[in-house]
Amino acid sequence: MSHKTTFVLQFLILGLILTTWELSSAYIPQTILVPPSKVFPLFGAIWINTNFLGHLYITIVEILMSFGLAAVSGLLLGFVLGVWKLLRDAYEPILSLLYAVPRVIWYPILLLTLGLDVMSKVAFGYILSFFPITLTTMNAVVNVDKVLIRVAESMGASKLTVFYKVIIPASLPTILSGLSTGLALCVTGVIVGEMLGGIRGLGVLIASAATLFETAHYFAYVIVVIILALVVNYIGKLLERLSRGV
Amino acid sequence: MSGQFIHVQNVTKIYEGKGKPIIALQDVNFSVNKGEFFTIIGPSGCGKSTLLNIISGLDKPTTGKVIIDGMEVNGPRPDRVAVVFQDPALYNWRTVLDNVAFGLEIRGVNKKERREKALKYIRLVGLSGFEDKYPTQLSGGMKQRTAIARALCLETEILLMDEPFGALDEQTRLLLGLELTRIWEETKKTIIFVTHSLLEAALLSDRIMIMSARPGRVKNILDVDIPRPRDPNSREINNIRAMIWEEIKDEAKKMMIEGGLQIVP
Repeated sequence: MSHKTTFVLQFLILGLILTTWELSSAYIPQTILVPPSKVFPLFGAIWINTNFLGHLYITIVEILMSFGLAAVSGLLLGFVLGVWKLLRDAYEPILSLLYAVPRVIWYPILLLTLGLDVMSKVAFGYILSFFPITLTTMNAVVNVDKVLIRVAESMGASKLTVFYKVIIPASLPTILSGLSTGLALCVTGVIVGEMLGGIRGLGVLIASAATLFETAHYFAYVIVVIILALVVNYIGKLLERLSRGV
Repeated sequence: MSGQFIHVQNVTKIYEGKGKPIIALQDVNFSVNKGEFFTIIGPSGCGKSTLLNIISGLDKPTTGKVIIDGMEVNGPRPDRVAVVFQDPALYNWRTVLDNVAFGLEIRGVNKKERREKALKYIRLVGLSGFEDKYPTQLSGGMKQRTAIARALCLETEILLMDEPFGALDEQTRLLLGLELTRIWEETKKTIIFVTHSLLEAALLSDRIMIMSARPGRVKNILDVDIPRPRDPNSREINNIRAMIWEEIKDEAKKMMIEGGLQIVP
């Protein structure tokens, strides 16, 4: 019942936004705001253009590459820092400091060293998501209830057994939520990277549509990004739910 | 049946903190007989848990030693000693069955035998039918039963229990305590049981060791010669409770004053 009510309410809010958008665009020049009635037909049309699919494909590949690299290295470093207190004490302040710096300032140097194409975007997405994945993994390992470890030790478990039979499963839910945050940040990193300077990808299309005042196209691409974000968000939720079911 | 089995000799434990070192235990000496239900009682913070951790080999004494059946304790001995903690500390990602079988899994016992033994002890603690449930689906009492089954499943001669019913409500606590004595009689284990409940101590034990306030020392050891099954409301049990209370109340006061509390006479 209440679930249904929420759904209806959401639908109404969405409708209100679209109506306001449609009505207000009558008073605003179409170079700035294009009504949804003109955006949505275009949204259908862009898919026929193979060029667009190529750009979308590149963006997705970049997201997956940067996430893959960030996940593997972030998990590894996070686990090492989690179990090795000495290294953690030395390294954590540095990591936290780097985490606090706005990471977009590194982007120019990535463009200079890795070029305008794919690699600089992968690197930027990586920089964005590597830190949260590492820090979440480290904290998840550190925060495993000590009694759970004691129980295993009292039963004669070796350090290695404790690690893979207690520490990994106990910290898994937190780690997965860190990974899903990381994935969302990869999307941001890759698209922002493409918008700031690139040759191919969704971000490049968005930036050029905006500069050329092709506002209808701009909005159509934005909708594509929103859908992409929704899919990523859904995958993240699925991961977290999966771990809680186990 | 009888014969001294566990010896705690001159055990002292000092924690080096940031301020002054804390003497948790000082010159603790006692022995436990084979097959005995031995209870340690004392005010909060008297080092009961520390003592149990030292006997189990999870902690090391600063000086002194623990000898079990002629061998000095140097670390966990899962073949001889099983431990039940105050917190059930179950693994939420494992079913009741897999939690109970965990110790055998570490030991490398094959799956079929693990399952058979785990089911046997799940039955013994009265959890039949719950073996495929996850800990989050259980009540506090059922979780602690699972933890007890997990310790029993190791089939050790010695069972150490650190306030295993401390987090439960009084009714559940008494019922589980009485069930524990039944299990103890069936399995003929040696049990060292830590508690701060006078009634629990009087109801379950063969002998009760009373500890003093910090630094923890042995204050007295009482014999409880009451036949089982015992009635919580009987005069004998009340007498034992009164005796423990006489011994322990000054110690409890000391701990409270040390904690900054004022006692109104």
